[in-house]
Amino acid sequence: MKDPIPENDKKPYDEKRYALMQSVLSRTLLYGVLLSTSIIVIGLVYMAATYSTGYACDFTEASLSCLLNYNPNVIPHGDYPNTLISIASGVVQLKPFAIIQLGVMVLLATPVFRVFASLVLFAIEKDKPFILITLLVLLILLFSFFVVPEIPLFKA
Amino acid sequence: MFLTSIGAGAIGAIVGIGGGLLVTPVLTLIFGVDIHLAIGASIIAIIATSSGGAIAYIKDRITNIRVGMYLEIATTLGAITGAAVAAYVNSALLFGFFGAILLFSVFPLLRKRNQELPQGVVNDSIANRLHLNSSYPELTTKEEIPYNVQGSLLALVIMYGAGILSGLLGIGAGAFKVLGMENAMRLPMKVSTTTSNFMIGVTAAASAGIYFVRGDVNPFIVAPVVLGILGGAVIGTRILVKARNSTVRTVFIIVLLAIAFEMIARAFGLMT
Repeated sequence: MKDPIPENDKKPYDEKRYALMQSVLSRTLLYGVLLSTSIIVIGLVYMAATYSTGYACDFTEASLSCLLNYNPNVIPHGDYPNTLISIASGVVQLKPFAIIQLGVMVLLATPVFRVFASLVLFAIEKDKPFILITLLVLLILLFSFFVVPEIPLFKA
Repeated sequence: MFLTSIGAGAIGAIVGIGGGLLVTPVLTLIFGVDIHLAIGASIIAIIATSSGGAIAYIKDRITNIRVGMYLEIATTLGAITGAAVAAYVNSALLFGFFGAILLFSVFPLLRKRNQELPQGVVNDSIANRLHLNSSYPELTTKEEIPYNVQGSLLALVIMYGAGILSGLLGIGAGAFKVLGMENAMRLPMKVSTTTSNFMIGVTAAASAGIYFVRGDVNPFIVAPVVLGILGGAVIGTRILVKARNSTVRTVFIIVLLAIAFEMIARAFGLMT
């Protein structure tokens, strides 16, 4: 029940180098995920220790219900940081929610890092079609991060 | 919330879907979370499933990185397109339409549910040029399994559609990606699900920025979900490498049916 042997026996690069490339990619993701998890856990522990979110919407009885609120009329739709600047200023002031959001942002960046790492690896292998393909994917991703949110059409 | 996320992460990592359609109803129906916040959390959950699962799958050389990168051009472009037209389309209609597609795509899968590896696949010209064909180490038989790739162009079209869907509905559309690779490119089942797992992170990232800036990503919900999903994904990867292709396909069929019915239920407003 063996499959037919691939027709193009000529491998793009040899097995060892390809295996090395895979282990580099795997590690890029591992470090990203570990970093993100650690930051989120630190944020959670700090939130539990101080019993506070660091924002107006807090664990006090008066404001507890607003934690899961969704206000469609304001951006952000809840009381937590949603931009790089507000996260940075919140982290500097040691606000637990800002620390958690920083961890979430790191997680969000892991696929982008992974694409970037692939680009470097394909470039080292001088694999022209895949340098182009990866570059294109990276440009589309960066476009979606930095240009798309600025287009009024998307601000729903 | 944490425990459900572990389950969603494990299932998602095995069948190559983001678990968006598993997390969202639990958050809205059981925990009473607003649908927008649930979708925001599920987008992040998709990235967690993908990155968490891919660590092991790439290392075990089951993921086909070249196929993944090639198809990501189409999924990311589709995701942006989907986000652009989201305001102008009726999402109930979409859920119904795509739910029906999923339901019908179960039949070709059922016919080959006992098949371990695809037979008689010949590389097409794109696959030859880009060297998409590859091999993967099968742990159940301890063999290196070579495979060919066909339907590369058709798969690109399917992935563009899957991308539009994820941008529109805030899901990873992993089910459609697996179907595209399984039915058009005819990859071995495990290669399809792990490569889909590899891709959904990038597709979700392409629309996650928009959700994050809008403030749909609530740390109070997302923190337990992310940690649970990551833990679940690690468990899922351990299960997949030891499972047979036909077993993975059977689990995929069950999840596919569940998702199809959920999408149709949403279309008729039975579920928010």
